[in-house]
Amino acid sequence: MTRRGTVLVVVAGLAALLAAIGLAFIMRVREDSAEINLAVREAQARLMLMAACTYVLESGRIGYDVDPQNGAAHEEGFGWIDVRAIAPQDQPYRVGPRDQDRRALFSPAPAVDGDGDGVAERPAWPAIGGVARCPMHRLRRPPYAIAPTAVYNPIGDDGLPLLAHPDPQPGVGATWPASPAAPSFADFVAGDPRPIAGSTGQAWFRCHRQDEALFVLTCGAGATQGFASWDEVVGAGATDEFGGDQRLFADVMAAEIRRWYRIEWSAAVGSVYDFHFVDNEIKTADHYLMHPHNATQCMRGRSVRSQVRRPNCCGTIRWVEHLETPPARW
Amino acid sequence: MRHRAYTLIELLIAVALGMVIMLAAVAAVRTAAGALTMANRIGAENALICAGFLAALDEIDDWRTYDDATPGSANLRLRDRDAARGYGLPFTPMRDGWPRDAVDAWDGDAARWAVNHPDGRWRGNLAERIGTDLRFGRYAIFADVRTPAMVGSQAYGAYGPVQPRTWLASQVRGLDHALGHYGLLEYLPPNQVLAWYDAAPGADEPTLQGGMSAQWATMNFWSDIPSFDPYASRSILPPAAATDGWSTAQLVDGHRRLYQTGWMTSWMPGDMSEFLRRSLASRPLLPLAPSAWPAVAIQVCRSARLYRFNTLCRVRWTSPITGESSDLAFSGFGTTLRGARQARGLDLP
Repeated sequence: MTRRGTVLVVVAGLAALLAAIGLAFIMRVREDSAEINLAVREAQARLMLMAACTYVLESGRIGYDVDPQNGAAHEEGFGWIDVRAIAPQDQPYRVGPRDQDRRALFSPAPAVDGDGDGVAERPAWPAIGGVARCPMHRLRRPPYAIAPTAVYNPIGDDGLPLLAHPDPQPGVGATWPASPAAPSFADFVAGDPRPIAGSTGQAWFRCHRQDEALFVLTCGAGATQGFASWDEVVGAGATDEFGGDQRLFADVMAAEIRRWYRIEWSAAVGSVYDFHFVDNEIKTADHYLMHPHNATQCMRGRSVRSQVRRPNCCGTIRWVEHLETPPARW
Repeated sequence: MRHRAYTLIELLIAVALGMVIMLAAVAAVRTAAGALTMANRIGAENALICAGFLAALDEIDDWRTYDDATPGSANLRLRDRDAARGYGLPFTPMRDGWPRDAVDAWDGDAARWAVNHPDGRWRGNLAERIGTDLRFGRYAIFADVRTPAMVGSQAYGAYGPVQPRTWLASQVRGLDHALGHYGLLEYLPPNQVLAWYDAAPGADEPTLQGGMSAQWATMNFWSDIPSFDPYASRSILPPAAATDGWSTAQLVDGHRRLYQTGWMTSWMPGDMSEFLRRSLASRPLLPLAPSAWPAVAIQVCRSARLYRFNTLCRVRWTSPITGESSDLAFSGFGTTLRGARQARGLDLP
């Protein structure tokens, strides 16, 4: 009996030793994973810088769903500094975005309570002083989503596509409805805004329009959804987002990574290398033979200048400056 | 009951089993200890790689490898200026690098640079670089980098006063002189024409017949921006072994040339390796780390290529045991040169 007991003790000891070492190994791997998570969140916050810059570029041109002046839907904007404001008499219309009739797509009147005192003290985005807060969770189906089908019309035997099917097709429903009044079209427009589980609380950005073309971007990786403070949560009437628990918000905020940047927008597009094309393609020809900026009628085998080569139609970001400390307003 | 003694065979078997158990135990402990050591080493390596990655992200924003005013580790080499020729480097303060004879100072006002502002319009003959018979006029008369020129001839006399349009030309020339090509490309709007008129150029600033600057074409054949090859690279030269000991004049020239890093590499063999040797900044993450730790280096290369500004980051680590190197490379987006200069107050008048 003694011998059996000894063997049992030895085997049990070895097993315990191996289990302890295995546990230590797993814990070490877990610690490494936690450390890597910090890097992931840091990278995620910086990805938001790219998203925020893209938002600034697009939101000055693509426009807004509701024109506060006339209620029309989705007015196109003409940039943060309106490119049509050239003559001295145009200067009152200088600050954009404005619609095609130069009506402002913003209102400078205070409309947002950012400090939770029940009084609006700052204008709504996109006015100067306004803030756009953008939690970046994935939607089940974004508004106006199209189906991810790549090829609707296969190439026939003669090498030509049979244009039998509309391309693209909506992301909801079998095909396009016969009329925009159809319910399925409204569904297509609205999308399915429910967030996909697991994508919430990861990252966000917010844009504060500091001046005509100057923006303060805040990029975050965490679950505050871009609220700057609990007061702002209260002001926005969003306390339910955090279960009405201020301490929860504080905990979430403490675990969050935030980065602040200042950027400047410019309406300029194109490239400095246009001169290259002028020189290499036109040579001694008169300068009025130059391509217009959006020319697609390129000379075969010569020009690479075409609409698809344009960087964008929304302007460019002239510079980006990281701010070591949060600015007074963001 | 009589106690039965062990037989010799039983004893031998017991001893053999005991030895097997002990050997197994020793092997298990050794293996576990080795695994633990390896886990610790891998853990330390992971932690250092993670720290290197975070440091590389910070480098994207703070440009510390290129310009660092921290007391004790001050690295301000890229703030120098070639006084003899009047050229600056990417971190030269604007007030120092700007041409002394410019009629317009550096103007970073977004409103004035807006595309709808008349001052930002190019006034000239774009085809003039290849020669002109002045049939479209001599734009240097009013689009000059200096005060409006009084240009004329003995036969016809002076043109007389003209509406000055010196602002844009002054900005282009000033940025070229103050910052070099990377800075010039970054500071100017993307649709800007990279040329200016100079009716009264200095000895080092030749112009073509119409007054268009021939600066880029003469300073270095491959730094001729108008004949730009988009696959070539223009970079900022950080402190590196390849440029160690360079004079300010050499640095100035180095920031005003391109490296063939695309399809013309075969025409300019060695350009790619020169580009990497000169343009890749590398600094150790922990210069005083124990030798048993992996050596981790953070490398950054900033260049303009293919119409884009590229910030290539690389975290490289070397095993102290095997000497094997691995790296994690990625491109970053963050503070631009102008943003870094603004943060340092280098653009102040």
